[in-house]
Amino acid sequence: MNREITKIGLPGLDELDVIELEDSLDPSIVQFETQPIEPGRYGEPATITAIIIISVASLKALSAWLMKNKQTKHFKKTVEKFHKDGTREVVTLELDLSSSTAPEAELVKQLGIDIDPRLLS
Amino acid sequence: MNDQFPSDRYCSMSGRSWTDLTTNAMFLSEVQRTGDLRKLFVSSKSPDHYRPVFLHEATHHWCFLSPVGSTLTYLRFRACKHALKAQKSPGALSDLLDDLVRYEVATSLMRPLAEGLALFAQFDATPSASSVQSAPLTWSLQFFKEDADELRFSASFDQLERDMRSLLLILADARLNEQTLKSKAALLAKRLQPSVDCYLAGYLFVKNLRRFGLSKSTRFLETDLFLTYLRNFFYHDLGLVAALLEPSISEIRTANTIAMAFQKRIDQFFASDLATNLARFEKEIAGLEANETTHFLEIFNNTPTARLGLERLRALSDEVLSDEINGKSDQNENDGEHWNILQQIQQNIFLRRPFMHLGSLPVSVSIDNDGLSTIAQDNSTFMALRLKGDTEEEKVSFYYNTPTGDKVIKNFLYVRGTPDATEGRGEGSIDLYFSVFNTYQVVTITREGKLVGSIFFDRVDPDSEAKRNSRAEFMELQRVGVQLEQIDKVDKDLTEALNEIVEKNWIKISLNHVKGSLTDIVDNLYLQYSLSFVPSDKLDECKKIMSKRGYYELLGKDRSTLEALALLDICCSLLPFRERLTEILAAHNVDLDTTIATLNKYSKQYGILEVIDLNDWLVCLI
Repeated sequence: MNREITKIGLPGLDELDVIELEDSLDPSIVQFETQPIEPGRYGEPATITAIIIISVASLKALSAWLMKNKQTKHFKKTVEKFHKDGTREVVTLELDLSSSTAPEAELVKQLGIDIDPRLLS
Repeated sequence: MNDQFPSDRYCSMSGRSWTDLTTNAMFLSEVQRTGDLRKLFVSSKSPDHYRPVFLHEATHHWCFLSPVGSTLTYLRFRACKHALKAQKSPGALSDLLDDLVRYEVATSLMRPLAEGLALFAQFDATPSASSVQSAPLTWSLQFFKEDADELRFSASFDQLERDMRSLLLILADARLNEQTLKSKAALLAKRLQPSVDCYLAGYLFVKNLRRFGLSKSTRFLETDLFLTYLRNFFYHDLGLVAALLEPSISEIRTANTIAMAFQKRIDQFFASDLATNLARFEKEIAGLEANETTHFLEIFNNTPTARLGLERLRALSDEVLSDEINGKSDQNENDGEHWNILQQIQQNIFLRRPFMHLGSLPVSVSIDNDGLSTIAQDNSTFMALRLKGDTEEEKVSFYYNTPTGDKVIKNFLYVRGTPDATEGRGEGSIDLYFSVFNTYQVVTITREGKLVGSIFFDRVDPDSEAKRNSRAEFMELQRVGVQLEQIDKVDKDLTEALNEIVEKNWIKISLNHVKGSLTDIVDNLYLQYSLSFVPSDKLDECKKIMSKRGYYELLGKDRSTLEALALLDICCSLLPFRERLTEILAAHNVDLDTTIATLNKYSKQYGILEVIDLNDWLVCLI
């Protein structure tokens, strides 16, 4: 099976997140999906998931977006990885945005993407 | 198939809660959970984020329960009847087109206003010492006031003062939670293009009318008073009703007449003596009975045109709802059975318009041979009561279990069963309604599509004959009527039938022509007022920038400044004192002085934003 990651899903976004990502990413590599409302959770805020095609450009933009919104210095988010063989995997990203380590490198490492982090900086 | 007939639904910004203009049915997505519904009914507690959505939809409900709202309802009803006639008599197509044009023009012109008023209630309106209070705030007090609030206030306060303080607490909790702040920021980031997205344009329209009003009377600092004034000014406009029902020979002329009447009303707001009118308005409202909500306000309708509007409205009501004039005479030449059903449905819908539907919950209903009824969800019983299989009302004491397991007596409830409350078990729902005229809450219990009982919670003079009659009438309406979902289905069926007829006939071209011409009219109308305080040399630039993403673009795509603006604007409506504002903003990691300095920088650049400091009383003008 080919476990190469082709896309990642970024759930739980609000409308301003979407606006910012629209500004950061080329429309051809991102699409937004409104989460279906689960039974018993009608009152939860409407959240949106961004599905982003993995590329050097998209990872750079994603890193920049994370850094732009570092009101909290610790970023923790559950994301979904889409593999080339059609399988999906849910992982939790935890980034320390205040550390000296470049977030791009940490992002790539935690996502398990085979890309040279130097290309992202 | 394209939808030719406009959507009747006025939605919250998430698009999931809505109010239907014709039926005045509401759907509040935030109250579908068992716990929320139970809390709302038995202990008046609800999630904080539910309250702003309630205010939004309740404002729509309040606006549509008005002479203008009734006129639009009748026009839609009549359009349905013309559509039914047109199936056998093509000559009725002209009449159908005529009604569709009137409805389409009025709703397109008024939709930004409707959303603007609802958003103003959601984010801005706060109570004041005025004797006039908007219906949504009054209802909020009834629903959300907690007994514990009373204990926080000094014993020296009178009831009015206590209620006002209770409301302020309710509103502060509702508006300063994370979800509401996000919602406000999202509103400010909407595109300013009224024909495409009416929310920001409508909101700024209302805010700017208030800003103008403030220059004429400081009484308009009282946001809820302003909301009530504006709602009545526009939705009690019998001059507009006269134009909506003006006999006409062409659809373009009809459209122009309606558009001109609406524009004239806006002009009247600016030309009138607002300070004097506001005083007269308060006096006239104070003279009305508390439940007298179908009055025709003299202050806004003292003209021959308004009197003509009232005559035409009454004639339309007779034409549409009366069996005598319409049903029987037309019955033979049309499909009599369908006609009668449509007539009954429309009458029932109209009578149910004053009932606000607050939530629905799918449940299992079991009734034993002694009438003991248990209501369960997911096999967990959460309500039990005795429903006798008759329609006599029974007064019962009521208790509920607190989270700590204590039983709390909650006054008395009035329980009514129906003949369908027979032994057996089935699936159904419980639904929470609120009678806006008679101010009682009622939970209906439905099993397998049949009403088996209702529980009334009536706080005001519940044992009076008038109230007993009112509750009996509600039960009768429920028995002969349909549940919200069924009204919804009927509404959808009618809309589909209308769309099909329009789609297959020549009137589609005419209707599209009118719709096409409305885009520019709506954009020009609202943009001139939404940006009325922008200097003329900066107007085009502002329009261009804000047409994309409103204030997000205007503030240089700076999200943190946008969120700070949202927070500041909400806070200024609640507690405009600098010292308190500084504390609240700091609690959200926002520095007040930095925010004001940043916003004033944009104010100088575009002339649209301004934060004014009146001796440590801050006014945010967006």
